[in-house]
Amino acid sequence: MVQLNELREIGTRPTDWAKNLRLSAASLILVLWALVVFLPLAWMGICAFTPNENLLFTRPVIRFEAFSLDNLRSVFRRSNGLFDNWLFNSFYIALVVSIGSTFLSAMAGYSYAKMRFPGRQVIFWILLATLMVPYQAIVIPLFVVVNNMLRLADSHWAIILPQLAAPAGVFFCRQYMKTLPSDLEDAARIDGCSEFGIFCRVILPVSRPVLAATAIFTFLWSWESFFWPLVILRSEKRFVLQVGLAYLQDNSLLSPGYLMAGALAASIPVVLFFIVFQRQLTKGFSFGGLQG
Amino acid sequence: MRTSSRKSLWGYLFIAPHLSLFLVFLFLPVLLAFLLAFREVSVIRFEGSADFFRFLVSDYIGWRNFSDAFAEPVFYSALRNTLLYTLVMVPLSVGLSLLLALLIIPLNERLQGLFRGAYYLPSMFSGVILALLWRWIYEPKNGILNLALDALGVQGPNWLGDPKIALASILVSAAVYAPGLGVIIYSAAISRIPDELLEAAHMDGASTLQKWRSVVIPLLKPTTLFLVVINTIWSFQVFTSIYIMTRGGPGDSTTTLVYFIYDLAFKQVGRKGEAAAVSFILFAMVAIVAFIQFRMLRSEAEY
Repeated sequence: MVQLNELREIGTRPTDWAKNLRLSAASLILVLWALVVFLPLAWMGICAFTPNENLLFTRPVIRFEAFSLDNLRSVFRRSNGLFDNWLFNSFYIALVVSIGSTFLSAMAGYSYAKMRFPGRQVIFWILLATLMVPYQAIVIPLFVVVNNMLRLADSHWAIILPQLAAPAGVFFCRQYMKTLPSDLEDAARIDGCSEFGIFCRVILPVSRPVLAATAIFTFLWSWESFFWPLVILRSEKRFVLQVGLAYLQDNSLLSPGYLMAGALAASIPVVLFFIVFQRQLTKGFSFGGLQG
Repeated sequence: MRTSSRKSLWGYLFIAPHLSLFLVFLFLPVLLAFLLAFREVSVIRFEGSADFFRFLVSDYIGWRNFSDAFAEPVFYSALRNTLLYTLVMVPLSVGLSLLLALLIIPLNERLQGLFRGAYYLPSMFSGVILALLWRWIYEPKNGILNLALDALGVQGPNWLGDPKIALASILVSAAVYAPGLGVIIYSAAISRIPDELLEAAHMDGASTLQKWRSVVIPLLKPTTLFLVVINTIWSFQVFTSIYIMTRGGPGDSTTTLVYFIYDLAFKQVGRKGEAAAVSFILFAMVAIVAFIQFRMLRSEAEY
């Protein structure tokens, strides 16, 4: 990329003015689009802190001095403690799925990557094949399994267990662990370490990047899941945040302020994640190995 | 040999926790999906072993679920809306990603990262939140869009309530955030283009546009293909924005296939069988698209 910049010589020759102009036009488009993308989000932020009544006038009254946390408080209060529940549910479910999935994926990924056992290829191919099936095609049979066979409907296990079953983390971990040199395990084995010991003391510490990535992506994915929780949960106090927000919308047509405040609260993990990891993200997906 | 079977045992032990969950909650449903589409789903019970036999054999009703689905006029609206949505969204999303990624090239590293981050961050917000936000923006009386138009003296339409433009409104709200991922992927691919090719073009006197057209874009074909397929599959599966913004209405002007499936299976009574059949059709559509991609990618020459 450095050489590309060198190709561009911004000097004072007349032909460079045309180039400068084009460069400015390009930057203008980029900035304009960035505005288009961000203004709605900024609007969400403004509405979240503007008292709800002010938003209902035909010319909403937006005054920065009037910013308050009222909307947020109202969301908690008026939902009779439901919003607290939803926040808590989403959080602990995402946490359980994230940690559990990381463990399960690490173990399975290591096994598919490094261990040898009859049927390993076949089983792995089956995992791969199910990725092709869109999850909406699975929802109805999954509902039958969870509701009719296991009788877990309307419980949080009904969300946690299927999410733990997702094979994405396994692929991720396997991909990474395949690149680990076998000398590490061999050395540990010669030292008399048990298989499980090798896993805990050699493989896991070395796999920190992929484990962290799996944990984070799984957390976000679980936090934002909507369709399945919508379908399987019935009692309001068991809802997760995304479902709760949709439910809130149905029941509060005149309260955009509250909705925006709730939506903002629900976005916090995403924003936090982005702030912490933006460098990795914007450097490109060199980690996942997406081919171009 | 004893050691190799011991090693195999460990292999199985390590995959067992994940695999058992996978078999019950992913593999079994996939198998069931095929079975359910051809069976009477509303009377399903699994309380005893006799029920399994009944499910497998006696509940079989052949293609009736499918013919019921085909007889339902909303099915065709859903199909039409989904295809329309996909046909507009995919070129829009991929084209915009490409354009933005190309425009970012001449900037310095830090600005590049800034813009890429700016486009990608909003696309990470959950669909529910974005849909709620845009529903509020589209509000005919109090929404910011119509208020802004009103300040300019223009009467804004009922974005989500007018059957003629509701789908378009939803599409636009999604198109704003769709290019995010594409920009990042294109940028990564662009950075892999060997500089010698671009230098050679530059020395041949090629302008930027010519460079784009003859060097960069052709080399990005695999990436483009990948993004086209991913976006197509996602577009086929549009649901959350529909659910939050219009519930498929007004009428069925914004009902998409997945919303139709949801409505049949979980909002109406006794139509899970049809829903299963339509899911099957959706799966077939997605599989065909994925298959076509596989074929086209294979025939692409490496550079």
